[in-house]
Amino acid sequence: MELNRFKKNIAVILSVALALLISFIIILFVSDEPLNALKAFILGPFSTSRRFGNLIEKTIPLIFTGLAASVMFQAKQFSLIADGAFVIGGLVATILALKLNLPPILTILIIFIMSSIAGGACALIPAYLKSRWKTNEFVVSMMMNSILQLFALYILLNVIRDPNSGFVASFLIPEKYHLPILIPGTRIHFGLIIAPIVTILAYIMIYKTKLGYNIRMVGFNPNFALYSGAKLSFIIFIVQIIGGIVAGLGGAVEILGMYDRYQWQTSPGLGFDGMTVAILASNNPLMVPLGALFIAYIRTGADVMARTSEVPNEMVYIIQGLVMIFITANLLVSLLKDRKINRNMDTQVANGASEGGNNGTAI
Amino acid sequence: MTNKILELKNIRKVYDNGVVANDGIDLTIYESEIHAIVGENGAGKSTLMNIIFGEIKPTDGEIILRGERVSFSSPKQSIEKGIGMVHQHFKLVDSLTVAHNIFLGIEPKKAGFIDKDKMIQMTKELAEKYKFKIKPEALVRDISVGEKQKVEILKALARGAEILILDEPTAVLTPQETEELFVELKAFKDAGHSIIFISHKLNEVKSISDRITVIRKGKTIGTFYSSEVSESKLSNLMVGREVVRSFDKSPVKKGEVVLDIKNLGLYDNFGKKVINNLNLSLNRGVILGVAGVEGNGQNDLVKCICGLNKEYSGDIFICNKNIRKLSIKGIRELGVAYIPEDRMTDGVALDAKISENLISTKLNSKDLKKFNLIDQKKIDELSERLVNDYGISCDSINSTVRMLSGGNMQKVVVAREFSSNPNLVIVNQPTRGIDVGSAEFIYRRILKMRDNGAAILMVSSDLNEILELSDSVIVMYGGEITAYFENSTHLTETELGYYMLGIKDQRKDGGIPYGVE
Repeated sequence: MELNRFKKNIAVILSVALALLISFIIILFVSDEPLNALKAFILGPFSTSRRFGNLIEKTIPLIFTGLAASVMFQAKQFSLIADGAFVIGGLVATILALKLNLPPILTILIIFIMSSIAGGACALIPAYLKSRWKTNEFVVSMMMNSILQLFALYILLNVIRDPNSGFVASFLIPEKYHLPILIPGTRIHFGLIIAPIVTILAYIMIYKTKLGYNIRMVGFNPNFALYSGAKLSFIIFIVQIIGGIVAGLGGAVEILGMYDRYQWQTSPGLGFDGMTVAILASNNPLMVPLGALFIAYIRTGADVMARTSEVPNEMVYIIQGLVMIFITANLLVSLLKDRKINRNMDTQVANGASEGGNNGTAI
Repeated sequence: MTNKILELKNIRKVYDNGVVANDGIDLTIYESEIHAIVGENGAGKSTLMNIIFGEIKPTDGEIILRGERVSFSSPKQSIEKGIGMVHQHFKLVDSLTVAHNIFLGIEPKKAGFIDKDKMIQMTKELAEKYKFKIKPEALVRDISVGEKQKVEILKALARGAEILILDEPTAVLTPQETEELFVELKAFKDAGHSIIFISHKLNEVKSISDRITVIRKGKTIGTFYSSEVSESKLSNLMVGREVVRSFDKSPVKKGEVVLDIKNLGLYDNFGKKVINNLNLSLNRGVILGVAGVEGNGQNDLVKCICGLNKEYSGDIFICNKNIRKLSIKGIRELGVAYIPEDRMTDGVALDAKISENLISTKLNSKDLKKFNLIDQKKIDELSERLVNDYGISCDSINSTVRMLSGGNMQKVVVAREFSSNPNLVIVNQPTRGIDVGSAEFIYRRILKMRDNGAAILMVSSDLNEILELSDSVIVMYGGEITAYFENSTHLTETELGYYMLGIKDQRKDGGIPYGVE
């Protein structure tokens, strides 16, 4: 129901507002200069072009992982694989950039394709186990993430590590493979163009193709999808692979756009943030960039606040946690429950029932 | 029977999903009376009882208990006021003793611990007082269904119930157990208490109750003294129409065979044989009714035909094609339409739009696509047309199916399935739990499909439905076909009942075993 979708959006906005409000109250208590801290938090991301750049740079990878999560969530597949796939996508991009020596555009294209494939491959095991044996994809993907991260760390330390670097990092990625900077004075890179394209592709897939229709029906009611003739196990499988592909591509874009060396010793955790983004976006791909922007905004704001006041950066996790709780608990949705439906139905049934008439002789 | 103990005035209940379950119920219960409430499935009986018991809050109306207006917000409060309820599905703890179940939560204590001896003693006293035969020390998982019901009743009595609500108490009992129960209920009544008795077995209702209230579509139709009202009158009041064959059917125009089942056998997951060497063939233009007490293999048969179960032995041919290797989609492409037994779990996606529910089987065709992408405009056009054709009453095709009443939900399923121009239509319980108007509409559609030349296999536990629509009828008992009536025009419910209960079997009675034609 359109009305429902509208209410859901309102509920998300209210959840965010409520979470921010509570956070502000906490800031008021923990800070000696609460107004300055708040100002830094709210206006910080817009105060300099570098900080604004940070905001956008942080948004880009979140769009990818947010899309990965929202596609999987559409089919109610709660796989965490986006986190591992993102790391592996970045790793594969680094290795190829170090080894390949082809024209830059061709190389970058090859990197994107291979990183996507690698991301998809990361999702293979949880996806297959779920579709074949109904194994819980949440648990399997979580364990898979550990394996993938440690694998990436192994490669970093033993294969691509630059011994001359002052910190643990790979060899320098040749400059010619860096994604072009779009806005001088910031690090906003070509990913800002790729992300919306992938967003639109994801939207078309989910809402305009038969596959997407089946994905959504599996999310609504797997029995119904099966009964209607959809290949249930295939959909459960493929949707997780797609999630891995999108996250893997995101990892490559992030590495080529933001880094000159691969240096993730642990996962940057963007896969998990992507789940928050997906929840904020109600799993609608078109809303994912907005959700990503919001998470990037509170991250950047908290960074600025931490540097200019004594309120620690971790404040942001409180906000993010509160937003998650409010949205997932559906608290506000139920508060907004529409009573109008009752009234509409009343008249309908009353009309229907009166046809029967009363032919009983009551005592 | 002179003092009013409980009075309900103009009770209304509208659920959050818009379903109006009660719409103006008046009911008066006297002291020491057995008062029966009768009504069809979905008439609102259970809702009403849950309102009295405090499990559901009425939207409107007054409840007056012993002259005092009350409003319960939980069963705890109603229990304190002396109301007890025995649910249709028992709420007992299998691993505890009978005595412990009866006193669960109100256990007698000694030094802070449960006093088991006293509990058993109290159970014995209670059972004696109402002449119940039970074993206080037995574990609930070891006792029979009838005994479990007694435990439920005693549970209510132990909490001081003076008004006892029984929701279809005889549904699970053998005739002997039922008789025993009635004796006990009468003893309870003679002790000055009241019983509200819900049932749709009219002969029982007449034999046990003092007065009967008929409910239809959430309204009180009337209250009668049992001695002054006949079963047929009650039945008419409940249904609101005469139970007769009311459709003018055109004569059967039998076409070629569409469904052909040869030597079908099936075991369930527990290794029990659920279908045994079943042969069946069905022609175009024929409605074949499948009668039988639920659980005699009808659902398994349907699942095999629709491709939901591939574990069967034997062969199923649809339009001369063996379906063993075909997917559900492949079977549907042979022109099979299927109305599932449970629309909520299989037939619809509740939180998807009506339009999305209407097209789930239609996206393979090019009609709804442009450049191989879904064309929303065409989907909307088709949905609007189906909503109009099938009289689905809704705000818009973009409403979620959850917002619809049961009847309209079923119409969504029927609209989707019947609009695909099928060769074979499988309908399983087509009108279960829906209003009479929608049911009639669906009947007419089924007949129309038949006249258009589809073969129709209709499984139903509603005999009236079977007799009203079918051209031929088979009866399934124990996974086998025990009777076949090629022309069911003069078949009666009683006759069918004999076969359904396994009292008669055409094969044993020297009749021709039904098989391939």
